[in-house]
Order: sequence, then C-alpha cells, then structure tokens
Amino acid sequence: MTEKQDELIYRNNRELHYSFDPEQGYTRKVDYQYPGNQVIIQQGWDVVESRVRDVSARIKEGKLSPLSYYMEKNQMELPMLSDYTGFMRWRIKRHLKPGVFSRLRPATLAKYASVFDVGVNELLNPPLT
Amino acid sequence: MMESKPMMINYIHRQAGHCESGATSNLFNYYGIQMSEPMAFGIGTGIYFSYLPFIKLMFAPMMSFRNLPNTVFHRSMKYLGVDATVIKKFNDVKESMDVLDRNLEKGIPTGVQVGVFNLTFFPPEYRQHYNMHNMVVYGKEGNLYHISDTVMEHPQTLTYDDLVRVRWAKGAFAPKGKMYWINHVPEELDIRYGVEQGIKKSVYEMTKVPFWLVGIKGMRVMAKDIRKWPKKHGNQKAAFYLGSILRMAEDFGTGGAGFRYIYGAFLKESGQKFDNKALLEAADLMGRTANKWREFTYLGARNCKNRSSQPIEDYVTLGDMMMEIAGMEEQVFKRIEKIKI
Repeated sequence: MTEKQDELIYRNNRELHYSFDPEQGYTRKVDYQYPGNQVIIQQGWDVVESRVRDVSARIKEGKLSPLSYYMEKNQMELPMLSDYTGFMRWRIKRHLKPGVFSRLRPATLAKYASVFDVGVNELLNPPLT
Repeated sequence: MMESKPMMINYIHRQAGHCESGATSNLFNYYGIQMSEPMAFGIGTGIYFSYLPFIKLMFAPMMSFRNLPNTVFHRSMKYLGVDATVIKKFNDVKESMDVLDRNLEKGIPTGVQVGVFNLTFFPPEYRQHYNMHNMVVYGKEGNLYHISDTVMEHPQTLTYDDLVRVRWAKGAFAPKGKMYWINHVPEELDIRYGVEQGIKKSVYEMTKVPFWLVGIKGMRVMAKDIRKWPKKHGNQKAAFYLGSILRMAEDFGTGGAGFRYIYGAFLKESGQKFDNKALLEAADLMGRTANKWREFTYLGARNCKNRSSQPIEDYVTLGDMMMEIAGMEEQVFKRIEKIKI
C-alpha cells in the first residue's frame, strides 16, 4: 500500500469513483486518481511548462515581450485574453513585440497585471525559466 | 459594501462523481426527495458523445463525453415536473451577485456555473480554462460564501471577489453568471415517467442524431482517426492527442470512464426500482462497456508513459478497442430503445 501511495503525484483531493464488477455490480469509493492517470495529468502540465520554456528563451533573445510569458503561463490565447482585457486582438498582438510593450502606458500595464493577477513590476520582469 | 447578517442554509454536502448531477441530486435531497446522483444523471440525460476534431481545445481535438452544461439540471426538472428557474445569463456583474444574495436571504440554495481556472479552493492540477463546472452556494457570512462543490471532499468557501471572478470567467462556454435553483417540488413525483423520458432522449442523442460526429457514429470516426494519428501527426503529437482523450475520460469529476459508470448505475437503479429485466441487462452491459473504457485508458496511459517502440501497431490496437467500445454502447442503447417501464 505504501508503495502505491509513493507513486502518487497529486494528493490534494480525493474524488468519488464509480466502478463495476460483473459479480458485485456497481460500487463507489472515494480515493485519489489512480497512478496511471496521474501520469497523464502530469504530462498535460509538462506540455504547458515546455511551452513556457520555449517562450522564455525567445524573450531572452529579445524576440518577444514579457506579455507572451504570461499568456503561456496562464494558457491564454489571443481571443481569451482579448475577452478578459477588453483590448482588441490586433492590439494585443502588437504588445507581443518587446519594443511596443516597453512603451506601454501604465494604465494598460495595470490592466494586464490585474488579469494575470501579478504586480506591474512582476509583469515587466517575469521569472523566466 | 452593505453589512448583512450571516445566512446559512442547512444544506447537506455530499460528494459526487460529476459536478452537475451531484449538485442536482443534492438540491433534490434538500427539498426532501431522495434522489441519487446516477438517477439525476440518467433522467437529466447526462450521457453523450461528440468528437469535433476541427475545434482544438487546449491544442487537442475537442471531444465531449457529457451533455452541454445545465442539461442535467434543466431536463431532470422538466421530466419530473419540478418548478425550477434557470437564469441563463446576466448583463451585469453586480446584478448577478445581488440576485444570488436575495436567493440566500430567502433560504434557497442556488446552483451556479463557473470557470475553474481561478477557483481558489481547487488544487492546482485541476485548474484549467474549463468553464462548465457547477457548484451550489448555500450560505453567506460577511464577505464569505459557503460553497458545496461535489468534486471536493468537503464544503468550501469563497470571498465575494473570488466568486465574481469564477462566475464571470471568459472563453469557450463562458458562464456569464448563470444560476439555477428549485422553486417548488410537487408532493408526488412521477419518477417512472422521468426515467422513460430521459432514456428516450439519450437513445436519440447517442444513436439517432443525423450528424456523423455525435453519438456512436462519432466514436467510430474517432476510432478510425486514432489508428492514423502516429502516421499523420508523428509520435509526440499522437501521444499528446491520446493523452487528451484520457484526460477527458478519466479526469476530475467524471466518476470514471467518461461518465459510463454513472449511467450504468442509473440503469441498474431504475431496473431495480421498476423491476425491469431489460434495464438490468442493459445496466450489466453498460458496466462491461465502462470497464472496456477503463481498459482503453489504462492501455493508453501505459502507451503515453513509456513512449512505446512500435507506436503504429499500438494505435491500431487502441483504435480497434474504440471500435469495440462503440459496438458495445450501441448494443446498450439498442437494448433500451423500445423499452416499456
């Protein structure tokens, strides 16, 4: 049992699982996600992380603005970020250029910061990976 | 903000496999109707399948194992003749919260649709841009709302601002403050009629919708696509797509195997209640189908985990398995198609 518990990656919440056995019929039990599935969940998050790494590298090269870091980190694409901020898509697209982004007005920066739930300072200097 | 006295409704939180059928069943129970989660799920026609490869959700083909949000609540109320209200959307944030507060003052536990990305009590691994989650608000103390979220083991709380944030999440299927509640439950509920209507509708949706990507037909299309994935997209992307099927089928709040166990449990409970042999047989078959789904996800998970050496053969095996599952589900719905309860 301890060995099985060690394999678990996520142990934050136990869920209700149904199961079926031809002899016993339907049963329910409360438990963590089974280990195999936890690996799949982690793989999903690994993809997010690798995208964040890619984008970090391009920010360091000076090809993208810090805004792109927060978009990947929050898994937001243009349409969604446009919904949250109320900015037009083409405008957000422009803000992905480092030169344009560095000249943004404080009000615009504050809007982005509030959507991503960070301070303006953090928005300008993301913890690149 | 106006100071108000604490309001708590004596609402019982019971964990469930699926957020909306769990909320619906708990709401029924609050009004004194014994209604299990599978019954609410079945009468509310929660079971579904659609595969929309041209829409990408989180970079993977979109598929769904369940009906659109609010279907379970709305249809179970309709088929059982319960007086309930659904406010589909609000135009104003403040108004959506005021209406909720007024409901709580009147002692009405109220269901809300929310996005989970900013749901603070959710563990980090649950938090994606998924806007079809449901929970019930049953109390307010000062700035704190008391929440029953059936995916969580225990009741939770949210601040006013956090609740606004999740009720007004943006993106696909944005909740726009949607809320729903029960007004009045009649003394006598015709469960038999509800079950009959629910089954009829599900049979239609799973086998008869004239569109090739919905129901059993959609499962067959997906099966054929799975076989082609490694050749068409390369190994890495195929593994990611496969992973996304598994995440949809087994992740948070499905009850396992893409809701198939819950539906099977519904058939079983109805069969026992009305002493109907055909329903019991269908329940058994649904259970076996669900186990086959589980087998599919186990095999898929192993495949994703180990990056197998002969991917093309493996994906053919998985595709064949999906075909078999489609055949089994078709059997289930054929069995209950012309049922008389």
